[in-house]
Amino acid sequence: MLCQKCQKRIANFLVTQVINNQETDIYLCNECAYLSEGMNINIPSVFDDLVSNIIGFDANITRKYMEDVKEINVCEKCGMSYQEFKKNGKLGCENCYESFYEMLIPVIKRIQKNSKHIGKFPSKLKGKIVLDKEKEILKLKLKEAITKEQYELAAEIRDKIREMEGNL
Amino acid sequence: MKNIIFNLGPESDVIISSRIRLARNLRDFPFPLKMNPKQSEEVLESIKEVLVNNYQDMNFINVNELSEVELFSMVEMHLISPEFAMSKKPKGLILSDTDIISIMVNEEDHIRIQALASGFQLENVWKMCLNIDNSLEEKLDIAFSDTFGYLTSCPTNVGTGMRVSTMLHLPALVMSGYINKILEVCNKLGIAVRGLYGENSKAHGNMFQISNQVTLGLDEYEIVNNVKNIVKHIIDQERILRNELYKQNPIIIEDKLSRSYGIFTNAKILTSEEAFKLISDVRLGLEMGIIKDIDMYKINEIMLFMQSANLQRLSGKKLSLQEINIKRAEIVQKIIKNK
Repeated sequence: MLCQKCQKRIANFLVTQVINNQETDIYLCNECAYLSEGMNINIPSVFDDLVSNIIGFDANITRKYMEDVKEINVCEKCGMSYQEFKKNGKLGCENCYESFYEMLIPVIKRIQKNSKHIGKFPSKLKGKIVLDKEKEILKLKLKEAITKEQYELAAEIRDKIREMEGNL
Repeated sequence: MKNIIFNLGPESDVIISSRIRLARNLRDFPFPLKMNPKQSEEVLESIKEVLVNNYQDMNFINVNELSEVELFSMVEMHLISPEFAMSKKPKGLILSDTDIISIMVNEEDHIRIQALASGFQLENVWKMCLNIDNSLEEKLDIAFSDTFGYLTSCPTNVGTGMRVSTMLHLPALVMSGYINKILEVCNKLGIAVRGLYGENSKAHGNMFQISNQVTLGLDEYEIVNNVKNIVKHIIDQERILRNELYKQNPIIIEDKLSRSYGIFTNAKILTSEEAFKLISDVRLGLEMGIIKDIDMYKINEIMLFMQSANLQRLSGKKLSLQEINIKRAEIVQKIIKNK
């Protein structure tokens, strides 16, 4: 479901707004939820050891925020909610990285200043990772061939990609 | 315990020890926070099987059966973390015969591989970690994503899961007040400076732990090199300042360090704080050639055994605070007199 405010990002929050004594539920994405009226979020600029501080913003604001916002995001594999993660700074399982992807990306960028792993990887995955990289390169070549209207070459590359996908 | 760690390593006038730890998790199991006891046991068994079967010098230690004093003496040896000692969940420890490699199972992550060596030996400890890591990866399915790398319970460790840290003794930087400048620079470069026992601990006896903060977006060699390069600079500055301090105030420095040695070797009651302060002076005096009748091996031995949990372990019983302070003074003198 798309955010009802920006209509661009995926909605992660159910926010209850009170307008003229009437409660209205609105589904918002991460950013719009933070920026929505009456909420003023300070992101600490200095790196702090306490992850919960980095992830969890100012305690008072978070409390108010938690009263106002009901999170609808729960990792289906381990049952952890994003709120729980914000409280103790620890994720529940590997799948949480996917479940909370949208919300984790800014957190990880803030802590790590990066968002892509370039170090070693498990030897068991070696074949797959090399194949993925080759496929990525082929896809770029395919795009280039199409832009240059070299359709014969494009067909060749397309077949190669299909063949690789079949092998996986 | 074989006391390899008391031996002197390279650059030991400033660097006490080098340590690297890798955080890993098994696929298809929730992280420790969300594991039930059955899953904890299963994870424990599979890791134990791989390591104890593959390596003759690796021993499994059932930490669930150890007393608080025994657990905390391992914390003081830097073999386990305080969090691991306190956790009540099924957990395990695999230790190498020489106590240089320790693998905590079911700490914050399923696997925490740690290698420790005296002095400045980051490449060596990295090789040790890598070796264990590769053996585990061959046999077990490790939680990994193309984007985020090794998946860890806390996003502060994701990617390489690697923490490279060195323990430094920096009395001259502290005395001259220049340490604040170092802290500032380190912070800017993504390097963390902490006290003796890592996160949230105070810098006892001018001991500082210097480690990488960023674990994602750099490869393992870059991380090791970043820490190494900064530490090299710090070593140089500490050495220059030690010389300058002595050159400019010879009598004052000699007086200060000799007095500390006198108190250290004669006191009947030593609090932990005082003992750390004194041992820093004694270490410095020994390095500068001002104190001569003790060697560094003994200093390292005292440094470990004067800590509360190890003192109580040696005594074979739990002691009151005052008893600990008396026992500490006794141990210091006993080790010094022991030829």
